[in-house]
Amino acid sequence: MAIVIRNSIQEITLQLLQYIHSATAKSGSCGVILAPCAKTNPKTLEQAKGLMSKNDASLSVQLFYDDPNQVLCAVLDGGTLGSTHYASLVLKDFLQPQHLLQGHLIVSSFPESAKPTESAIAAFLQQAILSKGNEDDIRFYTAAHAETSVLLADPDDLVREFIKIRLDLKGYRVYEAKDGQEAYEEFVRRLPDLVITELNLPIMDGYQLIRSIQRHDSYEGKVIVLTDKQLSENRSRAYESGAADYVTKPLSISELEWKIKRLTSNS
Amino acid sequence: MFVYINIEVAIKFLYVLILLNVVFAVVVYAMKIKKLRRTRTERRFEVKIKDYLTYVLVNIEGKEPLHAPPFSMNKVEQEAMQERLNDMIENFTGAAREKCMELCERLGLVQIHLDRMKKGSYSMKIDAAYHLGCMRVREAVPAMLKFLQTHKLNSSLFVIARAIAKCARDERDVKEMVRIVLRHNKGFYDLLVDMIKEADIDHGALFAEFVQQENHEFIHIGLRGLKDYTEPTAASAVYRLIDSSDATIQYKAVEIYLKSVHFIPRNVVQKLLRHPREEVRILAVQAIADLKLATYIDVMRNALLDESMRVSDASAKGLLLLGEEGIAELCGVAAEVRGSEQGEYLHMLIEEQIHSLSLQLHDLDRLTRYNSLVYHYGKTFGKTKRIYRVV
Repeated sequence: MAIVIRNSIQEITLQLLQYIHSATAKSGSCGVILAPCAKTNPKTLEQAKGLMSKNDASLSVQLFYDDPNQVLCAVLDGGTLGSTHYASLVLKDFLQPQHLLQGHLIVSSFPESAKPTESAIAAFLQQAILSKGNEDDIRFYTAAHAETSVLLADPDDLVREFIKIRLDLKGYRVYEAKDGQEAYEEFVRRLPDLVITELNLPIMDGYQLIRSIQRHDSYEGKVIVLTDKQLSENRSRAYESGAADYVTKPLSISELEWKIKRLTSNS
Repeated sequence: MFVYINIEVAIKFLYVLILLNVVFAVVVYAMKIKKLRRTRTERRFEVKIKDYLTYVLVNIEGKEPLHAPPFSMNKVEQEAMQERLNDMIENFTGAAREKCMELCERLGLVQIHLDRMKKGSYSMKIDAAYHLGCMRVREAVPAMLKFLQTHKLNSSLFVIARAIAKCARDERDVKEMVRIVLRHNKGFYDLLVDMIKEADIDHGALFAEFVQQENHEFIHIGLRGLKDYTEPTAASAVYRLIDSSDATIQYKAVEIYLKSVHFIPRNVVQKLLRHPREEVRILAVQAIADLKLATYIDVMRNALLDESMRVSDASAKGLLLLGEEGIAELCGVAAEVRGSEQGEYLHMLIEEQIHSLSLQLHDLDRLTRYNSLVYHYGKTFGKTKRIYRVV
């Protein structure tokens, strides 16, 4: 008789995998939220479940608490990344006032975020367990490894935040800078694969930044200009300075993502 | 007896003072606690709104509609949310913008501002127009046009006008807005062009339509709008205005025409080079050089001998760009008029160009031009300078 010994992580991994496989077979996708939590009783779980179902009636929610790893698991049958993200807002809003949340809420949807394999679920679970003790933010699990780095120089907080979120999700490592000087210092320190810059930058403008980057001996990367300057003179000047591409604001994120992909896959 | 009464009064007064102190201390602490509570609530909302806005940004281009926040908001919180959504609408385009606009509608923000525009006070209406503009609420246009009609000339007029441009259902709304603003007879052409560019219409077609009108104000707006266009359609739109009696309109029309054509017909070249304004003649000569129209070397030759030194200078520099034939023509004319003031000037200009080109020999194009100029200069003036061989 063979005896299989599993540790607590393997147990919960296999349990989640089973849920995910059954949900994806039925609805095509499965959303999962993992969060390190203080011990939660069944009544509290039932209340949270009711709240999540009330906010999005189209989802069937299963909530359970994994005692050995102290992780709360929410499985959303048919949950896309969008609907699971929204459900995480509701869950956070419920857990936080009761001081139950002890780290990040990690959101994922299978197969949108990753293929539902044992190793992917184990990594997802590890990310949740390791977040214990951190601020209770909402984060995403992505199977993509951050191999390509991007430096983003823009004085507008919203633009930076938006592009960073989108590129993080696509698996890029993103560094940020608010002005030309900070961007150049960050560039020298990180040597990113790609730089996205506005032309209207304080201290050192976009053209100067591009020229400084081009002068850097060890740099073989590329620069995309993302600006609200629409005139052909600006475009020509940017290309003359060494820009590889030019995107105008208001921005279309799909266009920008496509251009980033094209430039980084060539390098 | 008298002393005793005074002490009693003093003690009573002290009691009153102590009581007042206690009351004030309680009031101050109550205020402080209230402020702390408010700050805590605001901070909590900031965190809450941050999470929700991250949700909006992540899912802004997805297929699913954006859900309203899973929490209720008071007036101040709603205003904060409105500001953030306005920023997003202004910064994004396409599907992302559409989804933010949809969300504003779902949150009831559109209805709130439509009601304010209908029933609010003057300042409320201005604020509502601004927000309705940001949210691109098309159904708000008739009310905003009505408001604009009766509005006096001050900075708020442009807030309403810009809002109308942003919400415009079609070019008729934009034209109506322009017509109302122009009634104030103050021009604002560049500002109006900037506003028109915010409208979700074919700007080029509207500017082209404006230049076809008889009203000079519309023509000025159209010309300023077409300034950056380089398509041949812009050239055909402004062609009629090349003969305009208004000097400013004529100059701007020539500028756009020459920038947006790929070839200039001979009759147009001749007409422009016969123009009394030297600026127009200079534009024509420069355009021939930019478009590398070597077929007009004979015309450029005549321009070399123009009465205006600026036209002559532009023509000489233009001929240098028209290849071997242009350079030969320049040297030929300079030799022909040697001794005259114009001849001396052309001679000096050629010498200057040889010197300037000799400093940029790393550029193949300039090196070729240098060799060609030195060769023809030597041939016509009998002076020899070093010619470089290109390997």
